[in-house]
This record gives sequence, C-alpha cells and structure tokens, in this order.
Amino acid sequence: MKVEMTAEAAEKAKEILNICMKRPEHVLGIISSGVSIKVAGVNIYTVKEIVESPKKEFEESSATIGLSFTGDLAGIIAVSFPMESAAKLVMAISGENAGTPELDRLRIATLREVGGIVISGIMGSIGNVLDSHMDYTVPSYEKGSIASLLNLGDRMMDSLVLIANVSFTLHDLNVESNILMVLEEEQLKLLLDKIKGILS
Amino acid sequence: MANDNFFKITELFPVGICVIDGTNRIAFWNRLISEWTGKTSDEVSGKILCEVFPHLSGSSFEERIKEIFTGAPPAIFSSQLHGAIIPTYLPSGEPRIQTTTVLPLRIEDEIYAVIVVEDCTELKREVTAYRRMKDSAILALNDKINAEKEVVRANEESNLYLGIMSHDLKNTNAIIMSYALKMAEFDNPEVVNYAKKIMMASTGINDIIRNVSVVRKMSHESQGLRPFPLKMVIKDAARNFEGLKYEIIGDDVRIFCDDLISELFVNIFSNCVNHAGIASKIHITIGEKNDKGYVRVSVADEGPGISEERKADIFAKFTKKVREESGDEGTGLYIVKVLMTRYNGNVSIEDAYPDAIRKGLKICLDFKTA
Repeated sequence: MKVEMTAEAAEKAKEILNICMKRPEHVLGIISSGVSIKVAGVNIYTVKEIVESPKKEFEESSATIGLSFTGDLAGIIAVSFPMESAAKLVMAISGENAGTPELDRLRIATLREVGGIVISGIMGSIGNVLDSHMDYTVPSYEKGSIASLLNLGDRMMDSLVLIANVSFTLHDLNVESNILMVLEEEQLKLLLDKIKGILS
Repeated sequence: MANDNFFKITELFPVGICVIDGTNRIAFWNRLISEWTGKTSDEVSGKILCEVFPHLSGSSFEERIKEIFTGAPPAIFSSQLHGAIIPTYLPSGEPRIQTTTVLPLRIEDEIYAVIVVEDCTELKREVTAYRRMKDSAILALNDKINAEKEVVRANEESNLYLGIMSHDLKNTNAIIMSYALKMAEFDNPEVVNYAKKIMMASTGINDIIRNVSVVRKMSHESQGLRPFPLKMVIKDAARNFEGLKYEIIGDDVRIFCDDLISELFVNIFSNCVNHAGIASKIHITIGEKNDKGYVRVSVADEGPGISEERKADIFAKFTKKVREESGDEGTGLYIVKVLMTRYNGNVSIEDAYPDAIRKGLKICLDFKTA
C-alpha cells in the first residue's frame, strides 16, 4: 500500500525542508546576495502516477540536476527547473545582466553547482537524521520532462517520489522548481519514521 | 599514501587531480596538475592545502571542502561562479578557466577529498563567442521585425489617407460632373463643347481614383484563386461603360482569378474607349482551351493601333516617361499586366488586323482554366 501523507505530515515535511534550505541559501548567498529558497508544499506519488500523469509540470521540458545515493538509504534525488527559468536563475546568480536565457554548457555547469548545493543541504540533513554514511554519484544534468526522466523501467514503477514545490527568489526573479526524491516504499517509511521520532 | 598505485591510474586522465586527507594534507598530486600549476608532487605532498594555496584559507571553498569530510555529496565549483581553487596556468602564462569538482572517497576507514580540476578555457571562449553571435543575430532579427512592423503601420496610415482622399475626390468630382451635365444642356455649342471636355476630364479623374484603389488592393495578398465564368465577368465589367458596344465570340469558360478580375476588363475596355471612342465596337474572342489548360481571350478595338516603339513599354508602370510619351496616365494596362501575373497567366499585344488596311489594338490574355 502506498505511503499516504497526512496534511499534518506534509506540513511537517515542508517545515523540515525549509530548514534544510537554510544552508543552500547561505552558500548561494555568498555568491549572490539575496537568494531565498522556500518550500511551498510536499506530496508523495508513485513513479507510475507521475509517468502517467497529464499534469503540465510533469510533462514540460525541464533542466534537472540529480544524483543517486546508496547506503542506509538508497535512491535518487534531483532538482528540476523549467528550461527557460533554469537559464534565468543561473544568469541572475552569476550576475549576467544581458543576453538570451539559454542553457549552454557553461550555464549547465553552473546549474549543476546550484542544484548540487540544494541537494547537499537536504542530504546533509538526512545524513544527520539517519546518523549514517551514504555514498553519492556526482550531480549530473538531464534534459527532459520529469515524467520521462523517471520512466526508468517497470521495476521502478512502484517506487515512491516525494516531490517538494520550491521557489527560488533573487531580486525580481522568482523561479518555481521541484525537488524530487525517489525511494523504495520501505526506505521512505524508514525516513519518515526517523523524522517523526525527532519531532515527537 | 597507501593507495599510490590506485591513484596512478589518474595520471592518464585529462584532468588535474589533487587528493587531500582528513587533516587537509595533500596526499596525491597527479602529473597534469603538476604541469598546470608548476608545482611538483614532491613540493606539495604532505603539505596542508591552505599553506600551498593561502587564498583558500577562510574562504567558502575551504568551508565546502570541509563538508565533504562530514559525508556531504560531491561539490561542484563552476567557472561562472568561482575563480580557481587550485590556480593553474596555460603555457602563455594566462590563468586557465576551470570547473572544479570535489568528491568524497572512502578508503578503508579514511575519508579523502578528491579535487578534480577540469580545464574549460577553450569551452568558455567558444561559448562566449557563440553567445555574442547569437545575441547580435537576435538583435538584428528584432530590428528587422520592428522595421517590418513600421512598414505595416506606415502602409496602414497611407491606405487610410488614400481612402479618405479617394472618397473626398469622388464626391467633388461628382459635383463637377453634375455641373458639366447641366452645361451640356445649354444651347450654346461652345459651352456644350467645353462641358464635354469637362466630363471627359472628370471621367479620367474617376479612372485614376479607381486605379489607385485597385493598385492598393493588388498590394495585398490574394485570398486565393477560384473559378469565375468568363462571360459573366466581361458583361459585369462592360456595365461600367454606358453605351459600350461589344461582341463575344466563342464558348464560355471558367477561369482562375479573384475578385479583382472585373478591374482587369474595366481597364482594357477603358483603354479601348479612350483610343477608339465609345461609338466603336470591341471584339472579344474566347479561344479553345490548349493542352496546358490555358485559354486565350483576345480583346480587339477599332482605334488607331499602336506604334512598334510603344509596344515594348505599353505594360510599363505609370512612370513620368510613360505618361509623357503615351499621353495618358498609364496605370490601366500596368494593372492588367500585374493582375495577369497574379492569375498565373500572361498578357501580350498584337495588331488587331495584321493586313494593315484596318488599324486597331488587340490585347491577348492567356488564362488558366478551371
């Protein structure tokens, strides 16, 4: 049975993720002052639900930075931006004030750094919660819809995806994005139980 | 370092590699980073990274590298956001532009941080040149779009003025014509003669106004060609001329054209009337459809014909030269030529009577049939 998330749990998860964003805000703030990262909501889906969903946010072309991790917890974590927003965010952080918002190889490298910083903030906190060591791959860039990126074969269809809607704000720019964490059901239960234990 | 042999493989990699241990001491320094920094492995091995590169001390680099030892995921330092962690140089002495990745590596119970330095000097040059080229192309395209918008706006404005002017001129001309008609009823032959001249001039003004309107319409995209019955088109056009005498020989046919087809025949008939007079007869012959699906329609008048010299430029645009040489305003047959091109057809002229005993001009129109 799919792990259900109560409204209260979703609110708690949002709160925790917003705390996790403090570190990335600080690191990005050293590079470009005024960066704000806010988590607006959290949901749980199965991979199958996302792959088959008609929702625009899962279908539109995205720039995604992700890595996989193994250890006490194993799965995939990624930050996904709409293509043009990704380029605009990179340009704003790097102080480029003119030019076409297009993700070329230099900007992709910058986006990998930005995505990596956000992921590091979350995984650092999870590592602390679980008090365990995990191994990571290097953050990589993928282009495509969230649905297509998660379509990793039948074996993965029942895995769960925790999706957090995140907004990056920098000066006048506001970029909506999604943080995705793909885990086996048991692994997600383990994580949620640990979090519940800390909160109680 | 116990795993020297393990790291030796990195000598083959096209990236600079430095490995530091948990005390921030340099444990491995590959050949490429030696070349790029000018510091040998012997010089730096065992030394604390911040001692070799003092700019790292207290920096955000140092802070993020420390996180690697606490179990954080790999950290990327992109060339757009950072200068070099480990400064490296090109043979020319210029600094290399670099992306640096710091990865955790666990060997037995020890954690190391592997600092991978990737040279992206050439990539940055290429991307910068590409961005510059693309941005200037976009600027040029925007300029073109703005210029085209300005042309459309100017056209709309000129069409508006032309429309207003045509309307007002027509009204004024109608008043002139009505007074001329009253003058023509006078008993004085001299006044009647002048009245006829005024009426002719007034008709000429109306022709000019109509032709300008047709030229305006011709400048718009055709809404597509469709079949029209030829005889009906000819008869409709002839109704514009009171008392026009004409005959049509040949079977009716459907030709591909658009709503401006009537203007084509009005201009041809106007040309016939101007040169042969309203009392003369116009002879229209509809030929047989040829094997390419075209039909030749010839319109012959009984006027004075045309000299060989004028035949070459009879369809020319209404230039000053044409007006001066021909004596008329010159728009009519130009419009005929443009419309025939629009209908994928052809127009040519011949002497109406090749025997030279009688004179007259024959305009030959080749229409695509439906």
